Amino acid sequence: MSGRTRGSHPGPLLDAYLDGELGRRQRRDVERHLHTCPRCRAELEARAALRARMRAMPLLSCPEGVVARVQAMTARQPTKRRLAFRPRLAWRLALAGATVAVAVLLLVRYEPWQRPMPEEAAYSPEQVMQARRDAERALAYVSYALQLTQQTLEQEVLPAQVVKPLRRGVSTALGVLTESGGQR
Amino acid sequence: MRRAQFTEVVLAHKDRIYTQAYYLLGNRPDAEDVTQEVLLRAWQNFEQIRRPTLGAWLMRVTHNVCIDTLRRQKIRRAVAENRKLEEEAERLPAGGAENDPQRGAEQRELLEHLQEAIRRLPARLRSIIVMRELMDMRYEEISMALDIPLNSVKVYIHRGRRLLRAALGEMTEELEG
Repeated sequence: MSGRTRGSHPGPLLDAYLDGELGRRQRRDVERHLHTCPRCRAELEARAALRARMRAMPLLSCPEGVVARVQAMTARQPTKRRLAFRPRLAWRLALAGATVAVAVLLLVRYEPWQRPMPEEAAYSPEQVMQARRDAERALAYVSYALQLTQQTLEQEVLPAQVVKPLRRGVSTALGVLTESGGQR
Repeated sequence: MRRAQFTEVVLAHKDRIYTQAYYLLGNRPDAEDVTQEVLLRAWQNFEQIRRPTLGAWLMRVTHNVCIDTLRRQKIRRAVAENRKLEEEAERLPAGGAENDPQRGAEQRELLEHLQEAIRRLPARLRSIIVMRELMDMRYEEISMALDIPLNSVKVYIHRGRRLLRAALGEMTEELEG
């Protein structure tokens, strides 16, 4: 900045100097300029005098009536609630996410709809029934977890985008399993 | 708990808000309305305001509510305003002049002049000058409060003081002439 104060008058920097708002280098440059410029010295004095007059103006006291009115009004009004981190919601989301991930992984890993029809029965009827019960329980669990979260998430996004496709996938998988069990 | 914190804030900042509003608007009833509005907004947003920036937030809202009020005033205000200012100036404390009537009168006159000079400034400069000179706010705080760059604050203060001096000069000339 030094060029500005050395070459010409400091302008706004003079006020910043008066207010103690300059860095060490700028302050030194302004002081150097003031040393050689009577016009800026006079300007600085005039501004300092104005500032002193302004500062003598009184700070006013807010009437107590205003405070009383505000307190009465705020007693009836709630504050806007902050969107705070809620551990219960976080746990529910995590649980729902983990359950969905496990279900998807299982489906991807075993791809029951891709399997060729076994010529011979691979599972006993009991095993098929057990698998069906397990799958239904898992599905119910996923639905339950999602139900808990859907109130706070955008309504109907999760059920439409996750539960339905998942249910369809699991039903298909169960259908395949049942069919394969029935053929035995 | 929240209410107790809020009451503490109200007590700490109410006079600053009121003073800023008064010097920006030039009359007590409007300054009271603005103070009330600002404090209500502070209550409504109390949980969302970060405490270190609370002072700057309050000054910004005060400035904005004052600007709105000035816009509304522009429509209905006219001659009565000057009379009000004179009355207000008479009610202002004259700082230690109680025992010296002549000095008291001089100080009141000086105050009137300063108030009138402030009122002649454009609203933004008025706000910045009041924040700097009466509230003793640092440039950075003003920059934060009005959401303007630091360099602009420097320029505005420079310009504001220049205009104030010019206005005071004009008034002196008017009185003498």
